[in-house]
Amino acid sequence: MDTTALQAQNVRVTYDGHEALKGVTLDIPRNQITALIGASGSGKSTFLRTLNRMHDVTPSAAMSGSITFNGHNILDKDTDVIELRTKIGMVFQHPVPFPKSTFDNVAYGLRIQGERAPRSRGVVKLLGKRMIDWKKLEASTDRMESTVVQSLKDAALWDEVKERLHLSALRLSGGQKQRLCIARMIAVRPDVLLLDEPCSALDPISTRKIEDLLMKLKEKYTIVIVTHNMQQAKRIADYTGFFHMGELVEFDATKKIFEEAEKQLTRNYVKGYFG
Amino acid sequence: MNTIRTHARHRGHLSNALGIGLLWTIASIVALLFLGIIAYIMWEGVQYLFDPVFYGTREYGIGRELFNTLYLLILSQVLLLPIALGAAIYLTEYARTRALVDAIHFAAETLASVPSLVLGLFGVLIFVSYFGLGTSRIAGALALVCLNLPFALRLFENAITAVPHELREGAYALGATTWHTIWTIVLPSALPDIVTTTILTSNRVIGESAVLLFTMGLFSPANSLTLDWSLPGATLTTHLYNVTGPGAGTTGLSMHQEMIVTAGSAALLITVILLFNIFARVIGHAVSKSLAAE
Repeated sequence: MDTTALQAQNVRVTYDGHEALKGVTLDIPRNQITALIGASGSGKSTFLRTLNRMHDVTPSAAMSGSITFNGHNILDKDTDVIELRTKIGMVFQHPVPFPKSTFDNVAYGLRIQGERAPRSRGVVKLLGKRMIDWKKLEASTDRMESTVVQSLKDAALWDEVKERLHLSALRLSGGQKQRLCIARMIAVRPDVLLLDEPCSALDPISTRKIEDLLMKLKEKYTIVIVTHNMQQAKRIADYTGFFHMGELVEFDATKKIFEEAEKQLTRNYVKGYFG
Repeated sequence: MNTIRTHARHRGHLSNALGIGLLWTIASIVALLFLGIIAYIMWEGVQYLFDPVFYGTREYGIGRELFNTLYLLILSQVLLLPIALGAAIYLTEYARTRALVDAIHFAAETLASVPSLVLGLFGVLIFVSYFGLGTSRIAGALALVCLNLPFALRLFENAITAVPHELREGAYALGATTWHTIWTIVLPSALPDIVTTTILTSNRVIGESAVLLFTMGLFSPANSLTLDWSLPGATLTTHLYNVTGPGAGTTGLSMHQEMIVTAGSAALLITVILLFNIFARVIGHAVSKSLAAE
């Protein structure tokens, strides 16, 4: 099996003529955690968002170069962006669940793909309110229902929410919301998970839970995480890329970047001299 | 030193208290003014709201006018909502040409500041004459759509843009198309504001008179209680205007009956609008709660 999941070649991004990314070349290894670090405005988030074409919703953004994924250039005009995003999913900085029930949040991506849950199983109406019997749901053999259950378990959230799957996801705590966003992402079975500063709005305990989760998820997924927190990169990432002023300064094994980086700029950054 | 600081702090407290007191007084005057008007109108007319003859079509009954008002409300809203909501969705979610969006906004704002009397004349020229609809309910409804469109468009746009961008990105990142995102995430989230806008435009339909004087006329024929949209007719407001204004003494009503129509219609208008607001708010709240599974 190929050990490279994504191959970026000379990727450039401009916003209204302003060059935000000045030609980045980078191989992202499969089933590993790759951290992208750098100061605000260094281009790391911009690069992350090219990987599943999230820039398409920003009309002023223009991209060039190539990113090879499964033998196809993501940046090609004929790429099916909708299909691409089910293969390369993204979790954002602010954990914003949809204003729906916890169950419906995780089922959202599956419903897009045409999956329908049988109304009779698991979900019952009680006093006019939709209730979900989690024991029945857990035992369900329906594809959609079992995927929802498995995704919540994979996101280490099942035990905390199984009693209130029918209630609004907006009632969950910040850390739970972020794990829910991860659960709804992995429910569509992507190959790559992109995370854009997923812990910057969370407390240390919730952050720890997400980090443990990511360490487990890398067995199944290729993970790329943008982070401002260098300790986090050090703790979880196998590889780290350092961005500065729209360029990838250095990319190597995490240990190397933090202990004996080649470039002076990288050494200064990881020591906290700027940024 | 200590005394000076205490003094300064005390002065700060005093001006703060004065400011709050002044604002409180202004707010109370405004509230009393509004409540006073409502109370006066209700006091004058509430007795007729329990009179069955008042709702009939004989003597001083306003049955036809009440029916016309409700008919017009439904017809104009059915025409307005898809157009205004569709345009708002296009302008906020799809339109890529800044110039086109700006041009539409400029046109809408200009239209919004056109006096309703002028809009009524426009309705006569375009809908009544040019399209040959005559003085009719459909001409009235179309003119009302023109009156409400800029207003509804701007409020719908605000409702849609107020939906957090992160919600859209979350849906896109799961492989949702723009349309699917709008349908399943954006519109449900904007629903409470959409409902509020619908109440506001409905209230304008119930309360509008100038536009309808020209496009629907002042005479309600005997077959008014049918769904024929080509019929002319007065609404509660234009009837009220006619009975007390230009038509006073010519409508076959005694002066006492004219007074009943005026006072009763005014009280009825206030009551209908009040009930409508309460009802729509309750519905909107319930719908958004059930959508969010709260």
